Amino acid sequence: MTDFTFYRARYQLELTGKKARDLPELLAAIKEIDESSIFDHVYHALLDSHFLPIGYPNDFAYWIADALHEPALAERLADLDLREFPDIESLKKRIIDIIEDYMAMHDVSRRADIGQEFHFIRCITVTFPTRYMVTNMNEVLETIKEIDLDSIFYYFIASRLLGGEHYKELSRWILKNDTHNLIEKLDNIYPYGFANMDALRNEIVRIIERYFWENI
Amino acid sequence: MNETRSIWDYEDIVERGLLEDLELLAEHISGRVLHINATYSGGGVAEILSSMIPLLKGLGIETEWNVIRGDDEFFSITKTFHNVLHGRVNGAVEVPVKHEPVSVLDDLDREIGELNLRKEMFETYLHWNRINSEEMDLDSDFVFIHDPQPAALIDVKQRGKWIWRCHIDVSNPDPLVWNFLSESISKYDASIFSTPMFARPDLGIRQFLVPPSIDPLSDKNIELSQGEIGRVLDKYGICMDKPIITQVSRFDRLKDLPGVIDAYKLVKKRIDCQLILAGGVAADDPEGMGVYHEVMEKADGEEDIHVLLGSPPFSDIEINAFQRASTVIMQKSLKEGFGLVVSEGLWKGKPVIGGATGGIPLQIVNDVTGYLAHSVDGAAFKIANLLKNPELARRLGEAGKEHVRHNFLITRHLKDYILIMLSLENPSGTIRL
Repeated sequence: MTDFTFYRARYQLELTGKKARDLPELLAAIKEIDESSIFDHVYHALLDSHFLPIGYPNDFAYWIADALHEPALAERLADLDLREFPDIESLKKRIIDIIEDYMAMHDVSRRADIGQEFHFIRCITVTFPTRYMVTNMNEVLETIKEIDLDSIFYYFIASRLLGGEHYKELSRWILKNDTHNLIEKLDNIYPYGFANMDALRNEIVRIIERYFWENI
Repeated sequence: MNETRSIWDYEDIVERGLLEDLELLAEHISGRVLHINATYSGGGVAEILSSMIPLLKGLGIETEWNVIRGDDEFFSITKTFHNVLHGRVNGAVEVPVKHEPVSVLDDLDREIGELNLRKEMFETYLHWNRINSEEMDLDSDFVFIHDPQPAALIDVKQRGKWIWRCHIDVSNPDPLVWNFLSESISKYDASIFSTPMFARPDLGIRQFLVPPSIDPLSDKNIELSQGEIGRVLDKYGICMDKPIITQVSRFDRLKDLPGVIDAYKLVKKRIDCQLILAGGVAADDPEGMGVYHEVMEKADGEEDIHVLLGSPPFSDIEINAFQRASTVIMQKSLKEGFGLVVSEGLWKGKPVIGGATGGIPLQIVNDVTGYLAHSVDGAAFKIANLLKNPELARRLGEAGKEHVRHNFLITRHLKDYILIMLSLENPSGTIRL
């Protein structure tokens, strides 16, 4: 059986130079920015392990509420069900649709104060091999129990959204090891249905352990 | 500085995964890393580098730290640059003042005079950068140049990736000074800003986002016993029999020390308390002593206002003790680069009241980790609220400490610098090592 090395990712933020002071500017920029920028502004809350001070789970919703004082639109963007989007492109389209719908029905001339502009940031993903190398499914299970939550985030959320290279490699390795229906179960996990990364990890561990009971 | 330090010294403070990652990422950095700034001591930049350099070395990265030299005139000029890049407030600007013109010709004469003055300043600035470039070994794989003082060293770049690390807010600078400096800065491979608000749209080079950080194991931030705190306060004649409000900052007009005294005096009418204003004068700041004397005058000999000038500078343990002895910590800046002293206060579990400027709102999440104050009255109201509600003060302080743990410690800063070096060698959105 070949070895499988777990990878990790760390993210570095880079300014895009784009910023917005009102909804038309925000919309225009969202249409132009790349996937890594959407990823950062929507998903970083899942990555941040510290408390969230306010009720809006992504940067767009927070800024629209805080700087533009448009709570109805902020709530619609806060209520995005991330499970519906298999990739960033579809998520981006949904965000654009929501903002365009709102703009069609409301006066959106309000501008943020100077200094409260929305600054678009992109994130650079750096992936690198960890010291976790496994040779069988038992070791996969033990590693998933042990690795930190950022790795869980990377394999089961970030990698799946941003090209999916590392998640696919894990899938292929598991498939090669005769665990056909396990990968199907892992594929069907909806990471955004969990309160936090710990809960997601527990579900992955539960699925693998159940697989062992049923098949070994 | 030959000292090295292991990142595993931080094992009880930050998540283990981050420390493991630092080791793994550092293996991919090859070559020499050089940091250059204006001073080995005084101010946030020197503090960060004092912690950062031994840790980079401890990770096996060949790292050096040099400071530039210059005469009083050079540092006076760079201080002026600092002030006019920030965009001063409250009439405190010491750049040429706008006079009412007597005639068009008088006005023209004055403008020519100002331009000549600027030209001389720029020539002196470039002269000292040239001297430093001749004296320093700049041959490195990664060169981090901190702030405007050494920015023109880029003019002699031979090889390597050069990064201009900007610790101040240059979003609304004096255009003449900025245009002059940006000729050098635009030659860098990348720049780093502490917040998006500080950045410039006209640089034409990559701009990374890296908030600064504090070192939880430095003398300024380590845990102290009540005995150690008491001994420091005794030394300065401060009795802990009433609540202490403290602002630790350099004697600099932008820190609004008079505003802090005014807020304190409003609170003092209702609640018995005392105020500590503790700070020093940076080696590159010729204005500092003047500000100190103005603050002394404002304090007017009131016995519960302790204006402490660190000359020689306070030890870091003393600063630590002042903060830990406090009930409320202030950073009522009018303009701020990032205001790391806020993170220092939060790390000690204290509620912090800060001016809503620069990087302070990133550290103080209003009503969660402290309060943002927009006026003297607002600051006074919030101080009084915290003095009257210890449970509220405790809640804000605890939240603040966690906020700092996850966002503003030196280990995160180290990770960001390593990622930037890797990003510059692999210019794509996703880098697989």
